Amino acid sequence: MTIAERIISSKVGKEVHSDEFVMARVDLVLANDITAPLAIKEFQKMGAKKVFDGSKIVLVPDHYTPCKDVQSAENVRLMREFAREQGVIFYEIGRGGIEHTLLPDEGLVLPGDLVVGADSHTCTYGALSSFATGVGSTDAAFAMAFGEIWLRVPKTMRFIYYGALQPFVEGKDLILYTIGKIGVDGARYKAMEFCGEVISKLSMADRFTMANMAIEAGGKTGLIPVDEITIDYLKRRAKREYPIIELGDADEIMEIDCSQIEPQVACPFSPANVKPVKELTHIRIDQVVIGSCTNGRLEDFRRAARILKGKKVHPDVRLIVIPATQRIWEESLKEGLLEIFSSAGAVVSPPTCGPCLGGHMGVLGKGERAVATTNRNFPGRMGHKDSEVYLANPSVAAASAIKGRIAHPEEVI
Amino acid sequence: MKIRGRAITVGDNIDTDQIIPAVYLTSTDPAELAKHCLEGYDEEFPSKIKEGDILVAGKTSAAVHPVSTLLGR
Repeated sequence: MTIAERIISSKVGKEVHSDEFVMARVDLVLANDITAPLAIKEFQKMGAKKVFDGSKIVLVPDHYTPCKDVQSAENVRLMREFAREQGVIFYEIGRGGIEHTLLPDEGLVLPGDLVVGADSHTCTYGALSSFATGVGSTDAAFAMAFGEIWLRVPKTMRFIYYGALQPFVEGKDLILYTIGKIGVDGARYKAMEFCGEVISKLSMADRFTMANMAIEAGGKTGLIPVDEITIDYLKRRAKREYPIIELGDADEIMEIDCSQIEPQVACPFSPANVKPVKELTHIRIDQVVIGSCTNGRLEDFRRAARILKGKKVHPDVRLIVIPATQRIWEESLKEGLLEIFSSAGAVVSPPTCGPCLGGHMGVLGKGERAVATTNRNFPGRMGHKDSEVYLANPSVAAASAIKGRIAHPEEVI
Repeated sequence: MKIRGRAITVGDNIDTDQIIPAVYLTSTDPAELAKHCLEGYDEEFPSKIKEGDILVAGKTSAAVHPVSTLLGR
């Protein structure tokens, strides 16, 4: 059996296989300030009175927070009231952050869990061997009421990464390269699995980055088996027991030689439009964003700070740095990273999804171009429909901010 | 079941940002969302369609906000 089949079987109560339609118990339901208001309205519309288990439902205001206007404030007010009334977990700003970084860091997601979130990047927790997937607000409302979700058990597509990594090649480059190879629907409705000697040496931060972008290849989730690195990450976090999830069967296997991979950039307007950074160094930019649920972790800011230390952001470029959670913001402060960014001429934002979706805190104007460590570069994603987003890792983003154009980190270090 | 109407085709990979640009997602009202239906695909799209039209898309993905957007028309 595959990892996906094993986890889903344990939530159905009998052995199930790929392509079967099942009702499965969920361990955690998530919604944010875009999707929770819809889910809450659906919850009320279906006549539900009480959530199935308040300790298994998390509401995180993160997209338009700190609230950018009256409408977003009303949405979060609705979430806050629902959370109070139903006794579900709610993370206030200043104590929370971006949902997909926050939940695993708070120990709310563990290996073997089945997690549904009303946000497409819920697949991030697959890095902990949790079957985690995005659902619509209506499905989230159903799960909040009944503690169950309907699923078609996905087939499994395994990616084995081998070879020595070149300098400045990070989890982001591995996943961008993979999406570039298979396309935006290359893993449609499949559980992706990332493994091999390269993955077994990757930090949890890099693993989360990879799992986060499984959806950009159409993946249902992005799974990484449990090993010493996972166990070490969970040591200070897990408040429950969890199973050690090991590799099982796979329906398809693809091997990727990493020794040939240079830092990658996904060009407009698709995460699959991937090129090596060296082919793009002529492209001038207006803005750089380092943050998001893809690359907003402490390790990411350490990498960016290493490039930016003692340097200045190019006069024509705005650099926006967004630690994903309050804890990461604080740790970045204590390590002196925020001072490095500020001295370089960057603005350091409170945790928010903000510019990634063109929401606020760094929206692009007509014809403007950004390098971002985020996950999507569709038309108009970060603002004006004639603006452009190039997706890259934090080291490339930092180097580009200094150069005023897309740059390889080697050029500035 | 037979459905008759003018068919409008939009091709593959019509992602959620094309169906309803994220900047409008502070609203949950289908009628309000519908004013920006497929604006990310074609800015003029909302003015090009009328009630009873049939939208034909290829391989794609959608969440609830996009569905509400389409229902609002």
